[in-house]
Amino acid sequence: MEDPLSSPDDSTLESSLLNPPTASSRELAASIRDLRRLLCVTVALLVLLLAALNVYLFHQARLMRRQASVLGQQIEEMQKAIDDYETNGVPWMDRFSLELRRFADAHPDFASVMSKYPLPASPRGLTAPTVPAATTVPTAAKPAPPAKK
Amino acid sequence: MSKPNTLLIALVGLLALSVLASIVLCIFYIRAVGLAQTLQPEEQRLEAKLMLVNRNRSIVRSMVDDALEYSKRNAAIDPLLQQFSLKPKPTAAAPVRPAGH
Repeated sequence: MEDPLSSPDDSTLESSLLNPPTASSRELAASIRDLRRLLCVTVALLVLLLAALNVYLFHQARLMRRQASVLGQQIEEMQKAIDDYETNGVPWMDRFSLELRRFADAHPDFASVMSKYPLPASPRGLTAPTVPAATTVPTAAKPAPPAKK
Repeated sequence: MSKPNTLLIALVGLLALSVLASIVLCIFYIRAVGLAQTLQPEEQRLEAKLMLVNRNRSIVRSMVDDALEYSKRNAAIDPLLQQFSLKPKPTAAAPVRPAGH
């Protein structure tokens, strides 16, 4: 006997199933037809749903890739700026700060100007919390705060 | 002989392709999110570092401004500022050459 579900042709289906056709077998054939239509509609809807999901996923994945690429570029630029600061800016600032402190030691009127800048003034504090001995600014350069109130 | 339901077969084929595409896109999406998440902490760390750099630069700029302001009152600081190219060195008066040379 043929599988009734695999035969879409109504006449074939009926001839195979209903011989002789009765009322209940006709109802069964109609039900199978309805079920098949329902299955087609369901699968079509599922395909549509998945297509929409795929479009969404594609856009999201592209957006994420773009964001990651922009982030990578930003990181590269920031790293470059920091490297430039550490190789060129910090030694200059260290020397300048040290010279100013020395000058302030010799000129008390300038020491009052320098007192605005708390020690350690060395910008190397950026990379390490403790300033290396070679670049430390002498603490003696810092003017002592006035004792009287 | 039964006729195959071509519409249903086509739809099921489409469904299978869609599922496959969904899986591939999901993998792409997860990898992209992972990449972005890997870069995020690094970016935050560098941003904090850059803030410190800018703060230090502004402090030093302020020191330079104060030193330049002080140089208006006391020229003794000028050699120091000239050493760091913050102030132009005074141009020495050119010797007067005798005419004919």
